[in-house]
Amino acid sequence: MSIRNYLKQLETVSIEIIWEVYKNFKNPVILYSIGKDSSVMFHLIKKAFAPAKIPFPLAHVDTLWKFKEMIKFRDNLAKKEDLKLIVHTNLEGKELNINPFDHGSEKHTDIMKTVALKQLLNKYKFDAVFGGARRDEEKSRAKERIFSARDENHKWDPKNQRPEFWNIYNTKINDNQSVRVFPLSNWTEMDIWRYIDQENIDLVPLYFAAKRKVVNFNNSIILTEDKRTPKTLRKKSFIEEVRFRTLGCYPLTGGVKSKAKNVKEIIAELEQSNESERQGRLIDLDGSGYGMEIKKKEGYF
Amino acid sequence: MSKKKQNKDILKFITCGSVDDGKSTLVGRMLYDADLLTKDQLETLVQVSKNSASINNPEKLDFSLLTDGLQAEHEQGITIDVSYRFFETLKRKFIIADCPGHIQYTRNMATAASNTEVAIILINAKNGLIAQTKRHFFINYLFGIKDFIVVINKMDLVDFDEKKFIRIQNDFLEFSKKKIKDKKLNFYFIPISAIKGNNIVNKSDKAPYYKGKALLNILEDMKIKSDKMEQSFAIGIKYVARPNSNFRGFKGKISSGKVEVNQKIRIFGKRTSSEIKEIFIDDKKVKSASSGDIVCLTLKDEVDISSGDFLTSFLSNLSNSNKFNADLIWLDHDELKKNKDYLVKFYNNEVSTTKIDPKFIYNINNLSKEKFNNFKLNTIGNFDIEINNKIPITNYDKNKELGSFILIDKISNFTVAAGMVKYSNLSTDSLPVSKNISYSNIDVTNFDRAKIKKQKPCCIWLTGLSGSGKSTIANMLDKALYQLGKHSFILDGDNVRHGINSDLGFSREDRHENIRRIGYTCKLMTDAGLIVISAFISPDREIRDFIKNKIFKNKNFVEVYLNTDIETCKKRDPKNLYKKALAGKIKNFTGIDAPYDSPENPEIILDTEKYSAKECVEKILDVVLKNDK
Repeated sequence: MSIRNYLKQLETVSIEIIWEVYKNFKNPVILYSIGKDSSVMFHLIKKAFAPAKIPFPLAHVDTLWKFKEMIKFRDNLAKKEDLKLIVHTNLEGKELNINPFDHGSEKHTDIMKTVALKQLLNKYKFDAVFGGARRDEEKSRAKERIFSARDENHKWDPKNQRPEFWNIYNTKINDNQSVRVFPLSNWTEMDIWRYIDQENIDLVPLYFAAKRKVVNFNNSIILTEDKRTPKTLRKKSFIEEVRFRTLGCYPLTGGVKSKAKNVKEIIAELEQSNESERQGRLIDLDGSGYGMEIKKKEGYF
Repeated sequence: MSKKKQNKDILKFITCGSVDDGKSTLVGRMLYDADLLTKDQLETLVQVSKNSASINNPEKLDFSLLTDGLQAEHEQGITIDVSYRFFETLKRKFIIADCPGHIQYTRNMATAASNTEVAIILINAKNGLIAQTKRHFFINYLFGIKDFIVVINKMDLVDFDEKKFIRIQNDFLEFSKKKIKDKKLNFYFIPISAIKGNNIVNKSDKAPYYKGKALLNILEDMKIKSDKMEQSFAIGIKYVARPNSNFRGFKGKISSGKVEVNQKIRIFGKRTSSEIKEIFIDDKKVKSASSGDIVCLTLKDEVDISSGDFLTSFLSNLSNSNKFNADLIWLDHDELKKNKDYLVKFYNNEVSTTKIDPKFIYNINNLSKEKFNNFKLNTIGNFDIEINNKIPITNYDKNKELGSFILIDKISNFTVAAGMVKYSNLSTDSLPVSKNISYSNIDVTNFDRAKIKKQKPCCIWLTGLSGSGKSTIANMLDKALYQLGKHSFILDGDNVRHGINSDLGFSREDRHENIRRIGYTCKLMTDAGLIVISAFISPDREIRDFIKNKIFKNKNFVEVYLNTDIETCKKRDPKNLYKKALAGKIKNFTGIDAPYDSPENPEIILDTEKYSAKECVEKILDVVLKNDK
């Protein structure tokens, strides 16, 4: 192995995965979550095809509870890159007004995210779905394949995965099946940040520390983003300098106190810090200690 | 802790051991001692570990919880799949493929081995070498791993006994050397107690006889050799970018060698060639790029190239093959069916098998070859495989990327086997012979002879001092031409002096006669349709010009002058001839006590001090094949 910069080694593997999808699938889609990992994945997809345009559409599952800044960022990106943007919301869930405050994180995530995603995939019959998940995020992810075949119900069977040898990927599926593709599988959170720094990748400003109106909720500090935050909570809100290590539904996304206002400062902070990233995410704690594995079997990313 | 070193690379390693060798403890303890576990990881560990565990008491922490993830595995208490862990130190980033020690999971170990560069093999000091240790070693070896770190663990249970350590080390070396003769194999042996943290991150004084480094330091410092740079240029085209009608860029990752602007390339397996116009890395134009780079190439000619094609230098290490020999590991519950066609997927090509001919099965306990009867899950065997199309491949031990493949069942879509090419080309192509030719009334011209060879015959006359590189270049050129499907032949001292010219000595007259006869022989061979390479010092300008002007009449004759300084030749002195000549043991030696007339008008002059032999060969090919597309 040469002494090339390791970020380049990671980038190379990812781009090869992206080419493989282009070559072997008819109807791929980029499942775009607007977060930093999605932003890196998007950047890599752009590189894979440059100077030509990205040949895939973007899709976003809108739970209706995302941060406003995320939605703005998403729409700007699709416009700037001149890409088709598919936004999907579970309308039945919307009708029932499913929300994290009244129904709790587990139910909200299941109906507005997992079910909504399945609806989206069924509607457009995508055969390959890019996701920005990384193996270092969580234990069950560590065993996920790069090309992960799903049955007609989008379910993952961890005991029946295809072995992946070298950089040769089996892309064969039946007509009613699909694959989830994870080009960032071998990246860590730190790699993501260093790459964002190196490549100057744009991010939602919520990643950077600023004085924000927040409140304590379920052992986390959440943003009092809008009027839907219950009054009782809003009354207790206060101003704090925080940033978010991950982005999702705002009532389920805890901020961390921080002074890191740019990528370099975040990297410096992470190098000092001693906590892993999903700590701020409330959904991994659902159910027993195996929250994520159960969700994934059901079809969550 | 600062982890800022920018040109860090990634080292991928696999850990293998049987269930109670202490694999998870080893990895866990390494992360713990190197201060690489996060606070919440540590807290979770304390919570789930039993008894008196605490953050400051690592011996009680149950590190297996760090690496075992899936629910079913927890219930069984063993790791049943490959799982990937990441960590980073000041010097390197690491990816650990954690794979099972359980007997029926050869498949997972092979998967992990295919994606790593180094194997850590754990041995329980109490048990010594067991059947599984050998099995793990063989699987990793078959998948191309050359660097092994043998961790002799649980040394605390045998009081760090030096004799025990040495015995296990010797046992291991003895059986591995008996079974495998491979000079590239590299072993480290370390006495370790994973649970107590001896020799993992910190060197321990418990084993003063051990002079090597602690495990983490070995991992940080070891160099992984790659010979991809020395190989010839090859890139598999993955995507053709056409942002507008004026631009056609061929994108891919360079699998071996390097490429430069203006370099002549060919579209492998097709009879077309072109030259590199531009090379882009990201959106920057560069002059050259090498193995591992993702590039976008534009060419000077409009050539039909699509994804799946390979661009290569003229002199290529690849074979264009539809029959090869390979080792396979079977991964499916259904056995191999010999008369069934499987999909074969290489790095940049997908074809179908037409015939799978089993040769033998490896006994994975001792690597002996056994008679083939059936091929089932977790067996490794050797096969001749025929495929329905010629594709560019090479041997796995030369280039993993272009010598590896998977087999896919066309019905179930499952990956049923992974394969490594041992011999890339077994096909015995012969010229098609038409049954209707009557031999009596045909005047076969030189032109006709050349036509069936699909080549332009000529004589490549290499001239230069002893040590200027004639033999090396002649041999390489011969190989390159062969790979291009051209029929060539070398004339050199070995095949001329012992036969047709065995009556000649080394006087000036005899040397003259020697070259004159060679000249005529070259002409006869050229008339026969061959590309003849002559590799003689041929110091006399007069006789060279005679051959060129009179025998060849200035046609189909390429004089190549290897211009190398006499001092360089003396230094190279491959046959110790200069030494002997200077000592007066050889008389009339060109460059010492006999003159060399350099050519006045050679077709090609090559500075062999500036260019590598490979580059020289490419320059010659450029000229020789110019009108031969």
